[in-house]
Amino acid sequence: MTDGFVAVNIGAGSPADDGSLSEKNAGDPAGNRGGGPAGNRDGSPAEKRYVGFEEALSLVREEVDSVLLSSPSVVRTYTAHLALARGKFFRAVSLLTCAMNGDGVIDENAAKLAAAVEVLHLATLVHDDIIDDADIRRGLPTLQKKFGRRIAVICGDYLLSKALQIAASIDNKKDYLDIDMPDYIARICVGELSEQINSGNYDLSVRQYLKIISGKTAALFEASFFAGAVLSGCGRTQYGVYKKLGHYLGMIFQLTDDCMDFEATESVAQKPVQSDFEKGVVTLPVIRALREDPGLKRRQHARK
Amino acid sequence: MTADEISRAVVITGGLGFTKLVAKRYHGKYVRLLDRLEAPEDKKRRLRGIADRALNR
Repeated sequence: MTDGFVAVNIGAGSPADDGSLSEKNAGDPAGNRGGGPAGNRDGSPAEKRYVGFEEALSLVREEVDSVLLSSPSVVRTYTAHLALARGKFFRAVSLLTCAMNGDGVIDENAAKLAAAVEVLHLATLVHDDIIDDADIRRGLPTLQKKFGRRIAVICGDYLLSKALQIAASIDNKKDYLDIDMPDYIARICVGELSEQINSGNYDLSVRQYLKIISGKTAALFEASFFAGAVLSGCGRTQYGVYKKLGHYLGMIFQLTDDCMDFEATESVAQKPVQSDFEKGVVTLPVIRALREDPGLKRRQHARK
Repeated sequence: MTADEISRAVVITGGLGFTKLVAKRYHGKYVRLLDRLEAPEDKKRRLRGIADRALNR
């Protein structure tokens, strides 16, 4: 045991009638891995509920839809538009997979964290679209295109606050504190800001570029893997491996996204293509092209 | 330089190929690291599948 953290591998027991699994954690009366003060209001132990992967994913969708469709009407007018086109839930699927315990089932709280990650991702997309003055996202008009930039800024802020609220609603507050989602949000912001600062910088190095995408994209994948690991009860010694896996996945994701900007059609990408360069975003394919063809860089500098 | 010109340039100079190569290297690191993960084989298989999908989008 290290610094008071007890890693408990929770046996799932037999499936309950509803297909989910639930049990009381006999090893820890509070039902906690981290020993935090979780429990029912009457002081009785909190009952953990375990679900299969598909049910967990359904819970994520319900939670995200609840944010978008059950918000106060003044917000819902706008956020309902975002519910018309769902994303692929790549980050949620990653988190839930990492959250699977030794019996292949998932602590229901992982669904909350996965929903928080997806809502946070949505918030960043809404703000990205404002920055990029983008017209289309997921095949639909962007929020900023349909309702204006001011509305979109506030809706993005609203989604960010809801993401943190959902994450903080998990039973074990120590898990929430350990995951430290605000720190990952800060890393995303630093990555995004670095990208903006380097807009039109045709001297950007590969190393600088990789650092930028490590923040703007890979940080949220890392957070997803880490959060899943914490809720899986795998033990702290494995956290570093999960974080690194999440980081690598995020890097793969962004690099393939950069290629899609040049290769995919708009109907496949469900967003504008060949747009990064026009926006001044210097991606790895361009960095390589500028390095291989110095004349290209000279012409581009001459244009600036 | 227009977006179309840069699109041609990233193909001709191998910019796209290079980027895919870097993505594959990260994928390779990911797969090797999965071996070190103390987890059931089914979970590892699922995590491998996620990385494969990310690479082959």
